[in-house]
Amino acid sequence: MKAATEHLSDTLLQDYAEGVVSGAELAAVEAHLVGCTGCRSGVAGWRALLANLGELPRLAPSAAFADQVMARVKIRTPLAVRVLAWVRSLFPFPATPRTWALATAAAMVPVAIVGGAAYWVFSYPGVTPGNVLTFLVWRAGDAVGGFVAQTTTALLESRFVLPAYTILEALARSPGAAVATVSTFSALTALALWVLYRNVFTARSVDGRHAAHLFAF
Amino acid sequence: MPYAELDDKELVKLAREGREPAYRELLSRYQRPVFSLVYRMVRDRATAEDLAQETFVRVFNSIDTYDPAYKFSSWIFKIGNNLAIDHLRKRKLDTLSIEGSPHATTADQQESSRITVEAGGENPEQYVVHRELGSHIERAIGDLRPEYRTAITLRHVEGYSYEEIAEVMELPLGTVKTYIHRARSELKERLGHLVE
Ligand SMILES: [Zn+2]
Repeated sequence: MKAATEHLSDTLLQDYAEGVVSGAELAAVEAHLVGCTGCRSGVAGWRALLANLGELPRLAPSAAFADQVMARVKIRTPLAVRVLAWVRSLFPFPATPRTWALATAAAMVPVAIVGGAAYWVFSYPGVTPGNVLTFLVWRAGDAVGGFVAQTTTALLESRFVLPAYTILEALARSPGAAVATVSTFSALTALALWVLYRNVFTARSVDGRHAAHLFAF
Repeated sequence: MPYAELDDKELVKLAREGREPAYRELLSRYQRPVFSLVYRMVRDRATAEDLAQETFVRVFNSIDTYDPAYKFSSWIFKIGNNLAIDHLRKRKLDTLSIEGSPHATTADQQESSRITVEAGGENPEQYVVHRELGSHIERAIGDLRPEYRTAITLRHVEGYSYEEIAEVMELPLGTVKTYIHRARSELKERLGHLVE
């Protein structure tokens, strides 16, 4: 019974007033409060303070706050989204139903011409889709083979091959020059990749002034 | 897309995909809470705007590093609170160097010169502070230690749990409880005649 005559701690009175006391502790607090006017008035005091604290408002920054923040934010756009935006910027995509209709009509002209031509070709007896396909495959194989042969010949006959061979031979004889050349090329490659990375793959300011820091390090 | 219906973590995901409206929605959700905390810390509107702006810029520009295991709001409060604490620390150093000047020799002289500086022409900025943070309870909160101010604001303006406050302030739970109890005891002492 001695414990009942000891007053409740200030901390416990605060917690009780705030409603964060539970279980056996809550029962003990309530039992004490029944017989102690001092602690009851303590609880009332804490409740009054908590009520005041509960009325504290959130304060608003100025109206321009969000815009000022966004002007300094670099929005990171994934590559796929950026490529799509780039493709869209290359073509004047229709914006209204009317322009969509015009664009569709324009796109139908070549479709109609090709369709008409195909109808005309296949209307001849003896011309079948199989025949045409075989002919096309034969012509395409011919063209690819010719291109490869021509490129190889041009490369071998090129006047750049001999100087390149001479340089490589010189480098092979002097390891110092070889190391210097390889290092310079590596550094230039790294620099080029870094410029590419900075300007193409990473963030670009939302204010759209990306041209201003093109090639900025 | 109804951005307002998405939760914070979904918004962060969209922000990472480069959707500007997701950033805007996060701003509209947290500009008042963050500004309120920082303003109550530094008690100067222009400084609070700068610090709150810096908070959002830092959070948004490092949105890729956000760990979804934590609440987004806790993360942004943590950064805002740290910026405010740093600012107060720097300001305290400046104040100390001014008070160390040879012109003010006694504590009384220091006090009177300080008051003169403060009373020397109340600009619109100070007027706004008087209106917004001029109530007895706001001034009493302003007199608390900065750590107590953070804890009290998060608890009573934001309705944060002790655990969440501990996460924001990077302190043990017990320390946070002690801060809040002591802060409220100090407030009650100062406002005793008003709240009862
Ligand atoms: Zn008692």
